[in-house]
Amino acid sequence: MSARHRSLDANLTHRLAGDPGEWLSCDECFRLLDVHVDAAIRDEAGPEFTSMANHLATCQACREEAQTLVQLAAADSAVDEQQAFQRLGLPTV
Amino acid sequence: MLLLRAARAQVTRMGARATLGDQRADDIVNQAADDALVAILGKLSTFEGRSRFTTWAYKFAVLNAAVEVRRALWERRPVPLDDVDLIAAAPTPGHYAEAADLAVALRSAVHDALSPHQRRVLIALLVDEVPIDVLADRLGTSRNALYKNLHDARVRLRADLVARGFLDPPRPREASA
Repeated sequence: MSARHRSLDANLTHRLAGDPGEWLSCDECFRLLDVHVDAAIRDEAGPEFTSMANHLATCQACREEAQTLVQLAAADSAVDEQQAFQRLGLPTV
Repeated sequence: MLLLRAARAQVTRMGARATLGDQRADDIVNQAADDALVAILGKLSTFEGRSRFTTWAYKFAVLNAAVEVRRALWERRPVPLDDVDLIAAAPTPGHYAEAADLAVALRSAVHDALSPHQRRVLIALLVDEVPIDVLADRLGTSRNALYKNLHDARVRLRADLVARGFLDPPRPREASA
């Protein structure tokens, strides 16, 4: 038995047992990210939107990068970034 | 310059200035922007015009800055790769008995349904919250490969929990995906 212990609280249980959704690699997420971010800013759904949203929900690194890209692109377009965050299923900041 | 702006935004988002200091944060910004410019020049022919050019270009600086900040924040921290004993929390008014039963089942699924490598990756990424780039460096693999390990592990966990009646089976649309 390991010497380390961690409590399986509701949050950790959700992270472990939550639906991983459709497979999308980090490389593919990066390739499509600019297309999806600009589509979200125009309030449209980009291609393969569901798998992108699933990936961003479960990959913290890609999510952190997507949040910044949304902020930058929204500022360039002078639109409210919150709408794009919601469209991509990203937590608002 | 737009690449510096993008790298600076990522470094700021990750709170790197407070942790690493202004000098180190500025070094990361400059290096990330330089590396992004090289990447952009090398990949210019792949730009398809499906997004604005600036959004396409920003993402290279954002990625480089994020990876470097994660590495810097963890460079002196040990990456725990040993096993963890997951303890199901006792039910409380906010954590009902059904959820507690799921936690007990999940604990056994983590130990019984996953390969040792899947368990190690799952615990490092989701329990210890080691950044995926940092773990990839330490294990000599890629972010892509680790995310695949994580995805497969979570699919296995859910399948085990469904088979034992703790979760509903996927709907037909999900099952055929």
